[in-house]
Amino acid sequence: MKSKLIIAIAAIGVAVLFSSCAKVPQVEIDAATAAVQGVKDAGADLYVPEAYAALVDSMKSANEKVEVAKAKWFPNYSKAKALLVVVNQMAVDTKAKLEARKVELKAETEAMIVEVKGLIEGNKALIAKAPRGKEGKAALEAISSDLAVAETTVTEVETLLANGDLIGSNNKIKAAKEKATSIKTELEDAIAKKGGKK
Amino acid sequence: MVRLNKKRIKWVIIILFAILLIAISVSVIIVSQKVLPTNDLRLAREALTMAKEAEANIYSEKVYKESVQMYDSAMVNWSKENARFILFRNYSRVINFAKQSKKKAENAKDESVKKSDLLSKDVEAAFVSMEKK
Repeated sequence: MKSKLIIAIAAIGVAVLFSSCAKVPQVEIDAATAAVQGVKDAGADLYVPEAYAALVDSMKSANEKVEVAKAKWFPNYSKAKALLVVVNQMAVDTKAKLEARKVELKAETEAMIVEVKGLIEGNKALIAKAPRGKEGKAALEAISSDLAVAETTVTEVETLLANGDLIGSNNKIKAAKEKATSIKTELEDAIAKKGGKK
Repeated sequence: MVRLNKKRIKWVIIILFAILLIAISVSVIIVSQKVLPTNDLRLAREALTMAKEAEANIYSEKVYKESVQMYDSAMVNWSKENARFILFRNYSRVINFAKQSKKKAENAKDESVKKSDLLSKDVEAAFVSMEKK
């Protein structure tokens, strides 16, 4: 009687052990999937593509580990669970990197807007000093037109920035800065040549 | 009479236990001989990562997307197979999808490298021609 009781208890123990091992960590999988999706929705694939790619790769690896465990007689999801914890942590880190990158990009764009505005004003002053010969007049008209385009671009960039398009605004202001800088160089060269002739 | 019955029951239990033992052994042998798609899927995933690094999602979008779809199909099929009774699982389709995904990812990567090289040469040529003008 006593030995039968011991066998019964042992059998229940084994059954409990296996049933506890066999549960798919669905809560952890759902949480990690939601975390990855949240990071993607926040724009991680655009602002921090490398960190996001690593995160997606780890999520895929975790899903593979879940299936590896499922394929066994007595599934053990401990490895998959550990990786899912890592994925959640990676999602938090990626989100932090993303926010930092956004702040950095916004500050960079704002600084460039100020810089480009300064360059435009400087260029306007240089136009007044530039030589106005027959050819010079036409060249100055073209430069003035380019400056007007740069001014419009600055306004567009400010609107894009206000709408939260950080990448678009950054790309546009970079192009505008390049244009304004090249105009400045052109004008300075022309003024220097004029000075040399005198 | 009771003694004879007890003996018969004892034998029946022994035979049933033996059958159970043989069934378990055969099942274990069958399952242990099944090849899991773990390695193929890992290779496919790595190939996809390398293709993405080579910007295949931009320069070879179609092939890259096909590769991603193949990988997803492999995972879905693996999950389906795992939902079946362990002795009836067949991973050959999963392995096939994973191998196709890897192959397509490698093709996408090669195509992307070629296209980006060609594009940079074209841009260079355009700059040279603009400078001449």
